Amino acid sequence: MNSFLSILKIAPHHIGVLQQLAPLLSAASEYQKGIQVFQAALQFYQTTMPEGPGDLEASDCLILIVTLADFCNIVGEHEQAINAVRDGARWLQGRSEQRYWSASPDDREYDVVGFIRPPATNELSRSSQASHALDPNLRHRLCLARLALGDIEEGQVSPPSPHSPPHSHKFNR
Amino acid sequence: MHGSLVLKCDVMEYSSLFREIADAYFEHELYEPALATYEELAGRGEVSSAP
Repeated sequence: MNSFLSILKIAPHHIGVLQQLAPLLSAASEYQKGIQVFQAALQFYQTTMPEGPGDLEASDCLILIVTLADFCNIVGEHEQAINAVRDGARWLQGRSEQRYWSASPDDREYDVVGFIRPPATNELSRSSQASHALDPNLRHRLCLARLALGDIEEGQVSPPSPHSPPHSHKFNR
Repeated sequence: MHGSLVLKCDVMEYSSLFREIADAYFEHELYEPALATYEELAGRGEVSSAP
């Protein structure tokens, strides 16, 4: 583990190294360290490539987000997990400029078509609900975080009329 | 919302997610959806840990 951490000092935020490091951090229960390095990496990529992953493999970026959310959920930092998923998915979809979604207390950004919510009461009035796709692996982390926060409806309840299944990537960890 | 949407995916492809969601439902005393999810997993022998 320390060898990979040393490599990161030479090649900061190297995705391949981070992917090798993740299971080692988990095995050593070094979750806070994991949050630190994965959060820093995502911030780096989201800042330097605000238009989206660009030349990076989207699946690699997805793994970064999922891993960060997992580390956050394990240590009880569920709000951070939620932010990682929502901000990360927005970046993957090339919508980083839509930062106003971050102010939403719920996950209406990733509702499905046909799911009716009460109107937004804050600055989200410009776009009170959306149905952006969300990878099942990311939605799963949102589910666990919401349930852990006691937000049962957001975490579990069925939408009244789901017309379309969630967007599906073949990535399952 | 999120749990029910994940559970609309293919149980064979996302069995580990199904299992974790079922466990989370159970942990939060949402016994009815937990049981339904466990039953769906058990109904697929390939992903069930039952003997």
